[in-house]
Amino acid sequence: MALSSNVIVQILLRERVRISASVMVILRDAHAADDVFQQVVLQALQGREHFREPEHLLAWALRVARHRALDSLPRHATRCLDGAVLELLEQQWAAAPADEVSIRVEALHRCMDRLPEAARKLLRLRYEDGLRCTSVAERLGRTVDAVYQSLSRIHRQLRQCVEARLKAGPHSLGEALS
Amino acid sequence: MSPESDNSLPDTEARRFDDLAIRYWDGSLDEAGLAELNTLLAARSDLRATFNELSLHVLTLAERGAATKASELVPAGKPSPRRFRGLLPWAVAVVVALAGLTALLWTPAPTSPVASNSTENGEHPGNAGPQVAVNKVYVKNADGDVQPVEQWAVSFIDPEPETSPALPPDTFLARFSQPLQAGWRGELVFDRLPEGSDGALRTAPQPHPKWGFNHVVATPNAWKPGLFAIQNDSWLHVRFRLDKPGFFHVLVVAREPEIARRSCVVLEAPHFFQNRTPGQWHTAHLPFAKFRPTEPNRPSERPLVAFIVVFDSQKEDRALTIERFWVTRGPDAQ
Repeated sequence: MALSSNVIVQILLRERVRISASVMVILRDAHAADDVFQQVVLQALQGREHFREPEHLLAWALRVARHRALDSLPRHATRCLDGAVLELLEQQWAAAPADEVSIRVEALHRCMDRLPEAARKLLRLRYEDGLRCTSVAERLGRTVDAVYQSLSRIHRQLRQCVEARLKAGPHSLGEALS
Repeated sequence: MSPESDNSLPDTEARRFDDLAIRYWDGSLDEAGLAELNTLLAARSDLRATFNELSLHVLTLAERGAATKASELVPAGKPSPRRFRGLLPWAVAVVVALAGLTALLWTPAPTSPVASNSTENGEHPGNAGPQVAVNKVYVKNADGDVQPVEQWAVSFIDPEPETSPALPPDTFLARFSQPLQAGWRGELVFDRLPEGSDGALRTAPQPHPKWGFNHVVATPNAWKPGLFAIQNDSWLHVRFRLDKPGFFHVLVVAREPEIARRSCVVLEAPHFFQNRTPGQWHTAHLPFAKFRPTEPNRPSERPLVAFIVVFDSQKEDRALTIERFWVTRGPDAQ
């Protein structure tokens, strides 16, 4: 039996983060990724009679999102990873357990909250304000290479913090970054 | 996603990969760097996991930024950013979910508890421009009479208020029937209703910056006219059902009566618990005196003007369903 519209929307909302994150790899723009996600939801509802399994819907959504993101890429005029690599990344997203992404996001928020103020400021300028690294460097009076290095180090810290939290379990989330 | 992969790479290679990835996300990676990154990603699943994790970081950070900016826009698009910077994360989520990023589109709510003479296709007194649809909303006036009034499902750009509006009524009743008025958050349902009910609102998922989405029932954003006035002796009553054991939050977003001050407070009620009889209707009665601002130093002196009410079971879908809620002066419930 085909999935109902309500079920389709619920599944796609549940999977929004991983679909949007897979689109971000291509577009590197959260607003554009959100636009693509909404297009995917509409397209899924239009073809809802074809979906019988949630896994099928997720795989389809990831693929359609990738194609739609690539279609809109020329306007952004930035270099993008090879199609074959994108497909491999997509397979990895699809293989992640259903609740892992949301658990990771929650752990990530906690890790971000515990970063030193200087690191938070750098992340804020780069990702929340959307400044390129050259602008961030100007703003902070640093070299661009120094900004790259700092960002690399912060992301590495965040990955390690998230892994530590996930290994420690949901109730011991406090100290991983200290 | 597999665990952290740095340990499996020589330190210099790990740093090189991180550097390439950061430059890729910055849009500043040259052709040679892109080729190198493609090669690394094609060859190693652990690096692909790391790269996907990085995309999760970038998306999450961007959405945090969007949530913060949205909270600074609410309620009227031009508040002082400092006033909203300290909102708690879930309050930000409320703001994001309910006000939206535009924050300039408004759905007028009734400014008086007295029923209007307008018809479904009529003109709303005092409002220029077309109106599209009318929804039935029941409002209890100061005499205790329940009357249907219209809420206008038409959006327009809110002009600056020339003068402060009068306080909205201090009594209020919301019930639900087909069709659901624009701006309400929730799914209109008709199953297992209590006697005499025309419908109820079941929680619907709303995007949440931390855990994906929350399950909420919420009113439209009635910033300018307000939903009701909160006085020192105001009480909130709600008839609800939870199909799964657990709790939900009641949040009331309110402003000071002086609308030009654009100063808001999020009031939170204690948790409601329903562990023993899931699936049955319950009515809870709460004095607003027990509601507390979620943030210190927020305006809390009564009267306040409530402009959003949220019933939030957070990330768990407990099938929370609200059949009605109402506000009275004193504890008298209907």
